[in-house]
Amino acid sequence: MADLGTSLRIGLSGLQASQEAMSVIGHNIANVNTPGYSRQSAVLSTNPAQNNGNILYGTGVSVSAVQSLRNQFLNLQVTQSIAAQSGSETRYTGIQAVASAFQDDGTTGLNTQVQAFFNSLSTLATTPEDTSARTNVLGQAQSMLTEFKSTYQVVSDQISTANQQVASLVPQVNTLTQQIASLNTQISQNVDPLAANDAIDQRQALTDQLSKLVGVQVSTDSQNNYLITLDSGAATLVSGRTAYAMSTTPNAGNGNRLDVLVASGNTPVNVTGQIKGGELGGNLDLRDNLLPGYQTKLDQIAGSLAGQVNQINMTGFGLPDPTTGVSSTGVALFTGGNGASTGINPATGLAYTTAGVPNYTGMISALTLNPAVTADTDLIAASGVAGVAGNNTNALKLAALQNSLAAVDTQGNGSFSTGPFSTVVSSLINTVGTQAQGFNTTATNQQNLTTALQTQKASQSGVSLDEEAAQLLAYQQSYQASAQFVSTISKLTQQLMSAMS
Amino acid sequence: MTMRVPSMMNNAQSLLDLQRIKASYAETAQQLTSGQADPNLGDDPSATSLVLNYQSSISLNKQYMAQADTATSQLQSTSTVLTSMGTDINRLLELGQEGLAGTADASSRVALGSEVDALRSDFIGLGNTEASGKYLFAGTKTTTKPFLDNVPATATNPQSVTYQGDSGTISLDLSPSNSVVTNIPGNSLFFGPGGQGSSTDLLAQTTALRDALASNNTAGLQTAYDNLKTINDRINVAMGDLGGRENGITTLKDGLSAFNSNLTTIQSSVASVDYPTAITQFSQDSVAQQATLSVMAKTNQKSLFDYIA
Repeated sequence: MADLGTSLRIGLSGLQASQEAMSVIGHNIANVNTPGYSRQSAVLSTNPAQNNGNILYGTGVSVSAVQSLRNQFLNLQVTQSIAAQSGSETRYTGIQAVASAFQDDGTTGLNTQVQAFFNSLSTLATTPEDTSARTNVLGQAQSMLTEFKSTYQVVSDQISTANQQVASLVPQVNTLTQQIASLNTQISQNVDPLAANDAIDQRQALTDQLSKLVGVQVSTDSQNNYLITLDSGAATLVSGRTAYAMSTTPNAGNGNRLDVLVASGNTPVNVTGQIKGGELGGNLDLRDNLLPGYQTKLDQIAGSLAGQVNQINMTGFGLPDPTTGVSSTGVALFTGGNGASTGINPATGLAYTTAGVPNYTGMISALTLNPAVTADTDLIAASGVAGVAGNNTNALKLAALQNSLAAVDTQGNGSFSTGPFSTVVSSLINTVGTQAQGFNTTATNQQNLTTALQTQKASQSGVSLDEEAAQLLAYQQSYQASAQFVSTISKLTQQLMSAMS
Repeated sequence: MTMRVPSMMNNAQSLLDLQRIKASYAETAQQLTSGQADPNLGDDPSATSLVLNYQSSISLNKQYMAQADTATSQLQSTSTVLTSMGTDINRLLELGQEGLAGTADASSRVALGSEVDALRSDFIGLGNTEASGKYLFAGTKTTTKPFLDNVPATATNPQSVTYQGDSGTISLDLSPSNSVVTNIPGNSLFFGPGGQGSSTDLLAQTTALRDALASNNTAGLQTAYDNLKTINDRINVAMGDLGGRENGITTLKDGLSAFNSNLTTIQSSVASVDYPTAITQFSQDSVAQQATLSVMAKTNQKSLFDYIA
């Protein structure tokens, strides 16, 4: 039979269950702003009944579990989306940083400087005997070189910035992977690995942070361990309780920029080209592909322009000496060339690495005006005939370079791209702009996707204060009622006691 | 189905929206203050590259226009010299006619001869005309004084004039496919097709006329007079040719200038901000920003806790 003691215990179980459920609510409310927190709810279940003959008496209630409401599939989608978003944002920021150097407002900029140089050659054609026109050609050539060099330098600076970013991101990645590995340990050691709610949430929040830094793929095993690999699958970062450390090492073949390695057994794996997403992937892409691509184009345009101007200038004749009437044969207007040069190309006057194969890499840094021409502007070969001051045929040829189709020798091997110099410059500027725009669009789209996924995730897992308040009211009432019940039973017991005395 | 709206979610979405509106707000503001449709390179790359290509075309056309200006000024200077030459030759022919007239005698012919000599010096001076630092009639040797009078003459050798220029022509480009010759080499203008000392040589024939007048040689006078008439025709033809070239350049230049003003208009339509649109966008953004801010302030004010005593 259900005695007073049993009733008292039933009341007590109600008090305990309500109080425990309220503490879960308190936990939810406390974590309303914790990133990655999934709301928890107390699962109440009826205690086993007490068998008294053929009558079953209930024995109250207890909290059988604290459940977390999360959607693991959504979590993984968010992780992927964050990596893609931060990768695009990093690329966009890097390109945007150099874009202003390529910008041309019609008074400053690469396109304007190239135009101004050709303008000066055109003026030279109208007054080939005029020294001031020659000085102007040199001045414009110098400004054009300076513009090429400063644009190139801005890109170089951005490349070093990206490289420094790589160096500073790697330790952050390592900190996160170590924390995730230790949470893996904590979760898998739990009696029920799926019930370690707070550790699971924390691990997910850390994984989201990790995916912002580096593109990863995440999967779970039977022990609810996270297995984290790079997005390309090239290396494993976390497996069970082990975090594989990332490290950097300078690569002599790539200008001592840092290669990224991941520990794996005895030999670390080089993953430099194998990271797509996240800030690390974005910075590596900027450093090794996007920005050097702009530099190559700049080198090609400047090298091609200098080479072709030289070529024409070398076939003409300078201003004749006023006393002797003798004019010198034209010389190279620009000197320099590839840093690791082995000789001078007799046709273009520029240095080369391998005979017959002009290599434009590093051309801009080496290009200078020929000091002989700076010292004596008469060496600018406006004339096509020796000893004739007023002949302008060579100056006209120089000025016509701006229109000549197929002006830029992009490969440095005689295979010319179509388009005059002005178009080639503007198409490079267009490439920079298009890539900036492209990554900006991708970043915006990814941001939309991330927000949508996070909203969806929050809608399932997020803490709603209204909901918690309503729950709190319900448990408060059940607590009060249970307390009332306990007090009633206690009164009955007292009555019984007093009747006996 | 009613969607659960947890407390954090509201903030996240509204915050993103607010950031977007602020970004758009800032971009429109930049457009309005800079006057450019695409102040940043990534805003509209294809428009940016269009604008650059227009800039290049405009700059190229300006070069052609500058060359056309130089060509015009050279041709005009040449034309002025030719006009003076024409006047001088007409005076020369008058003097020749006077010398050939029956009324003329030896002494009057000597007087006529001295005026012819003055005209001869005038011709040499005209042949050595400089314009903007160049000798107009020296061919391409524009820094060399082209005509040198060989004084004194010997009895056997009539006073000759040496040409120190060359027969090169100077061209300037008026378009990628069109160029114009801006000079007449002095030897072809003064010496004619026969070359120096021949019957077509203006200076030699003037010298002959002068010497014939001085020596009262009527036969020589007649020959020189006839030759000078032919030379006069040639100079007139040359003037007509110059006029033709000048007209051609003017037409081309007008074309270039019209083309450039069209290009500038098109360029500005691409590059410059469309103020009505930008201002409308600006006020829209402004309204949206205010709305978002007030919505954010309202929605996050209340929760059920406010009503539980």
